[in-house]
Amino acid sequence: MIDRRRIAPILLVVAAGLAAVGSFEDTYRTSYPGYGGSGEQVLSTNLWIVTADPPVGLPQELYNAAGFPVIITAVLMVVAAVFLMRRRTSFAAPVAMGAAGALAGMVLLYVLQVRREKAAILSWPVAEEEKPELSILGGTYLLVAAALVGLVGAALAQRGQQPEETEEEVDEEAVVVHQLDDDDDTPPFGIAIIGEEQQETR
Amino acid sequence: MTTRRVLGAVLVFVAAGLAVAASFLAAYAVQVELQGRTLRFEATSWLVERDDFRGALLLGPIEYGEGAVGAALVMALSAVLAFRMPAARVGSLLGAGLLAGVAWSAVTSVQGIVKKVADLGAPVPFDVEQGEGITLLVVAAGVAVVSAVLHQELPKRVVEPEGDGAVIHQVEADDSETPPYGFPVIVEPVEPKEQKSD
Repeated sequence: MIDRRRIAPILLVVAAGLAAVGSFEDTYRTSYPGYGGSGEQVLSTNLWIVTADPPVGLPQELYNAAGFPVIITAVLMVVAAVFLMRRRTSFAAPVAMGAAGALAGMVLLYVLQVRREKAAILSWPVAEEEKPELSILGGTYLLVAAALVGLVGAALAQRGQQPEETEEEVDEEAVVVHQLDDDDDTPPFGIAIIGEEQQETR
Repeated sequence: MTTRRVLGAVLVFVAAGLAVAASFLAAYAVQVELQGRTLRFEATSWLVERDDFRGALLLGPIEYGEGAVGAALVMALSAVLAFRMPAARVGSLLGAGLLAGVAWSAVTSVQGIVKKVADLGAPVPFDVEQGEGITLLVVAAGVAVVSAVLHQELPKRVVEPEGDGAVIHQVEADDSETPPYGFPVIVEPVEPKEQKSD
């Protein structure tokens, strides 16, 4: 049987790697036919910058650059994986789930924003041959894969914690109720040891 | 369930409500004063509420609504289920993470719009303001993270191994406690001295 405690950190590290690589890969490309008369302008975007072909000056920093937050969550997942391998599950499992959730949230919002941008440029009132196009590229797929693998890894990290978690809850402030069904058992604060007490009073 | 975890569950609900409310409030607004008139663009996370520029700014909603509502659903479900299944508490962490990620990206997007409008180089100054929707989303994410931590099991608890059903009593702390399987309850009155004589 596969050891979940080993698989979870591996998946978290893989997810972090996919996220880091995906952030630097092109996520989508928009092409504008008819740019400058008869040419075509192609803009390639990753989570950090947007580059134009043919180039228009230096690559522009992306307005909504999501690269930095994605790298932060990737680092958190690696930290969680290291602590999982050191059997510090009580710290690592929540961090893994929080980081994987945050990465999933960022990727979800990014994909929705790209979808909205695609709908927006397709609605432009231009001639059919000059209609811009938006193509989803490998970076987006890597980010989606990173989010999914991260969630699975974080879930497995929680499963590794199950034996501790499934124990019956103990309320520290509550009165301990002892079992009285068996005749051999004694009630709490039960019968004092008579002999000793008598010895003390004497 | 301890008071801390009940408070955590209540705050999880509060965060979920704030996140849903944030998605319906204005995310950002762009405004310009032009010849005595005020032109304004305003959008929630779902749709453009007002666009006096008739699409000339090429702006649209920052679509955090689906993510925020999804995170709120995960958190609320986890808080409800955790009363019966303690393992479901992990859902509040997942929801808090989702919400934090969505909020962070939404703030980045607003900052991007501020830069984008500034780069337009318009002769009249455009005023870009972050709406109360984004502010509330950030607050919801903060409350969600705090509540998710409160909702979890803290590692300080020492787990008592359950062996063959025997109850292990604590005897070090308090002298008034009886040891496990100590003296049986004496039903019939017996002379104390007779017991002592053993």
